[in-house]
Amino acid sequence: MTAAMIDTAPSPFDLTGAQYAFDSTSLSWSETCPRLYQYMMIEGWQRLHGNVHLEFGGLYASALEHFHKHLALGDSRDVALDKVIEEVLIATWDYNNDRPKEWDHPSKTRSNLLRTIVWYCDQFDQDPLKTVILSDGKPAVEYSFRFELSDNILYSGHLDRLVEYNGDMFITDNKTTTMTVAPYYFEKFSPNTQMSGYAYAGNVVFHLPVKGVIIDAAQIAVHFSRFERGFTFRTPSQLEEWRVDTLKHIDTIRRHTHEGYYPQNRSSCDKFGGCAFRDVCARSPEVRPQFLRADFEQGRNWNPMISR
Amino acid sequence: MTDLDLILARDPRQHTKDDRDQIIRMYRERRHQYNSGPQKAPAKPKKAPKAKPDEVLSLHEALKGSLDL
Repeated sequence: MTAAMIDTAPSPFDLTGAQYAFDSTSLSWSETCPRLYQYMMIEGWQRLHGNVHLEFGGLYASALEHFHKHLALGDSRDVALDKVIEEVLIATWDYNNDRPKEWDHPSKTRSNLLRTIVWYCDQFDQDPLKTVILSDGKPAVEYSFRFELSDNILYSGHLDRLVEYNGDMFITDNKTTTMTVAPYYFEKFSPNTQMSGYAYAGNVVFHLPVKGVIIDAAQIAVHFSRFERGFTFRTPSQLEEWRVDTLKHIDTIRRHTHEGYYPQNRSSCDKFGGCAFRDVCARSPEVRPQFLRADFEQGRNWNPMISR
Repeated sequence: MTDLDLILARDPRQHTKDDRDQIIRMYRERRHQYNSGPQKAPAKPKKAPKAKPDEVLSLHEALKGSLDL
């Protein structure tokens, strides 16, 4: 993604000020809590020191997408791995201070990112998942999409890879976690907005019967990385239900915007290890702006219209 | 500082292919040591569970007429 792509991307908001172009990130914020959506999507608040999990996970997923792309374009595994290791080394160098980037996290470190990429490529050396080659001859890897979910409502996103496994089509997604990956880890992906969106988009953009998402989860520990592969299926009627529910939900969040008020969803405050804004929301409304400015900054707003 | 730390501490624009080969080799050695140790070896990829027959409908069959995409 270049600065030019960011600067020229259309706004995700329509002339009424309400969002019309959604992706799984903005949709998940709005589903989790309208107030979280207000802070993150509408006002663009971000943690002062960034989010190590997002940055680490993004670099990891991007490296593996590129690895699979190089393979599909004919590189050997060794050449493909060398290319992505070089890319990650460069992407994780702090050029202002002339030193490796530091994330202030015990296991999500630069060295452990490189280790996890090397170990993943070796772990899945004999991978039964085969990247699908599209009719135009290009591998179905790193695929940014955008389509109409209904009149005047767009859904956009980015698919890691379309693969064929045992004669069926799946989208793949890579996740990182510091927790042990047990079977229950994968249960959270059904129902799940992001995974349903991937499966739905896979069917629409590739015109192929995508059966679900294959999730390769990497546990990042201080001294090792461990991998587990999980499957989450979606039937056509489940996907249509997701589309209908998503549109109903979008109606609601657009109404909040038109009314200028985003209610708190207090049942979500302690989910996923605690909302980033819990300390702010716990304060009396008149002092919240000071607490917001103490821990967050307003950066560039999230824009689902930016292609990667 | 290990040899690996020393290579990683250098500006990557000055790395050679040999440097990156060394990096990859050293991580592979660590994986081998980890897998040979007392820890549980990483699990092999699992086979996908079979979808039920009624799940094998085509989405486009099911959505026919409901979307204009």
